[in-house]
Amino acid sequence: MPTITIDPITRIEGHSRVSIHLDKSGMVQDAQLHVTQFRGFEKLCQGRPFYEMPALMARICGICPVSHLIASAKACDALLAVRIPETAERLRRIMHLAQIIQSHALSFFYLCSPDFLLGMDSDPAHRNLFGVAAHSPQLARDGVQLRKFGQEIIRILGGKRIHPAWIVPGGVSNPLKAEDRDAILKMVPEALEIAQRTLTWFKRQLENFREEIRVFANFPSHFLALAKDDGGLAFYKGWIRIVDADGEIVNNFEARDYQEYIGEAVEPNSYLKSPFYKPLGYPQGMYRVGPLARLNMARHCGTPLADQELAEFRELERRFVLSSFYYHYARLIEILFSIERIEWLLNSEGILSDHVRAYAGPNEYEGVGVAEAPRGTLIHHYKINPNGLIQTANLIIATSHNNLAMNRGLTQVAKHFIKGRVVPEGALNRVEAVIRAFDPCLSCSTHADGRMMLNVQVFSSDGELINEVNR
Amino acid sequence: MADVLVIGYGNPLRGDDGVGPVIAEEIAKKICDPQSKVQVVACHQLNPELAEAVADTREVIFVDASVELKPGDVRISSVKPDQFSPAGFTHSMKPSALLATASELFGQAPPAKAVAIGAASFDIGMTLTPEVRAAVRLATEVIEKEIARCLRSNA
Repeated sequence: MPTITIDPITRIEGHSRVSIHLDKSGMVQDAQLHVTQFRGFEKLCQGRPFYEMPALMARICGICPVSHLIASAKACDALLAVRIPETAERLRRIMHLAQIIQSHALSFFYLCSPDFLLGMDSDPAHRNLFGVAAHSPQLARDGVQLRKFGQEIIRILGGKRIHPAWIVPGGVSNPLKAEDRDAILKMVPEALEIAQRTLTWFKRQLENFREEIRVFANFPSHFLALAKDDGGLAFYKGWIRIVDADGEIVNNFEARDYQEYIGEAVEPNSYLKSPFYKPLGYPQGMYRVGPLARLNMARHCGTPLADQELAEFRELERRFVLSSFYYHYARLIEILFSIERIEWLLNSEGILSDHVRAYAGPNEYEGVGVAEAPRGTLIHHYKINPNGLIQTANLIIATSHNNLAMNRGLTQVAKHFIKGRVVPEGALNRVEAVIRAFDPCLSCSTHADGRMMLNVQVFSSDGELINEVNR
Repeated sequence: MADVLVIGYGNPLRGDDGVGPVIAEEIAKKICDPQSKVQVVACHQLNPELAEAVADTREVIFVDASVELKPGDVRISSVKPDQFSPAGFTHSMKPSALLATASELFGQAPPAKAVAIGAASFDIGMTLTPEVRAAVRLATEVIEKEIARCLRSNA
């Protein structure tokens, strides 16, 4: 069978390749994402003391260490069987939202805005942040400033930008100082202005991407996210909720019961798991997570500016928003919400309290922690022995929930844009861009030596390499 | 505006790759005056968020491990803003690209030096190899001299 391989995919976090399989007539039959590096963190933590887990698990990712800190610390809270102080929970939420902002800003401004600003068919040599800076310096500066805003909050709270050890089992290690609160509050107005300016700009661009909106993983699917009882946008805690493409609640369960409802399939051609909704089976149990799922599920955000934007977002497709191109839009709304919410939390009563940690020994042998990471629902599950040493750990990383949807989206976009063995540059970029819309973080596997090349290979039906492009 | 910005970067979990942050911390210890005109940053990677700080200094010194030098060797050289390499960018940059970003977005790229320390091992671990550990002192002295030169010229 003729095959087109894109290896590796560029402008995503991590290393992967895409293979596109053609039928005998040269039309696209199937497409798959392959994650090509192995980490093995679940094995690595066996035998370690459970209280080391948050700091150790944060090392999984250089982009979203805080998400892992939160999910891991919540799993450890469950092992301690404690209720953490209210102030500690609010402080954790602030750092978590700062993480959402900086990660979403990286995705939108650094990785994806070149396509929005310069076009999907523009010269790949300029289709990057430098091209954005040359064409629209304000947009590039906004991206830098917004990401810096999120990182600076993490640094102020945790002492450093990456891998702060401030979130611990039972709460946080240090209270917030008044001068640090004031320093963060001082940065809020500029961040809000940037978020609103970017939303206004992006909404004007949508008209230019009607074809991409139509075929970028645009299909009915289930969605999974944390959900509050009142239907508010949830990032830190709530039910794990599954809804169908019409918005009907299919299931609602507690994090500790996730294994009853979420299965984890493994394919031989990728190190990325393929979670699925068990009652529907594999792979029919495909669902999507992340900003699109969260906003589809939320009845309201709970902050004034984000609620206005959510109302407009709802009108995009009348009911649930099904095109994955709108992940970008949802990301911007979540940035706006996060800034507003951080301001609210910093001004809340008791935020400077010294009581920020609950102390206990292990009281349970099993604990599950869940949080909404930038890319979707993140689950950490630990089992310990009576001495508090980890016996087994199971992690469901947010990106993996989207694995089945990304593969289906790849096939959809490849069928639409690739006709035969000659693949135009713009079509290649769109194959990558549908993956970028999900903002997959394989980052855990970033930082390999060498250039991140794009390699496309076209094989004849008898397996002969007939064309190859590198850039 | 700071007179000198020292940026030591690398992954402290990958053996000698962590020598940049180690040296940055050594420099920071020696310059503990909060009013100092010298700023020090220790980080994993260079990324665009550093561009504003780079643009807002008179000279920048990058400190990093090198695979091109013999283990323990130290070399100081000039760095110029350079064309960006699109294939290599996700969230980390080369010094030349960071300088170009500072120039493009914030209007200036200061004169810059790169201090490279030859590395022996990038294996997982938080310790430096003996030859790189021994080179920390030499590299720190080189950087201190460069800082002193810059402060004199701006006095």
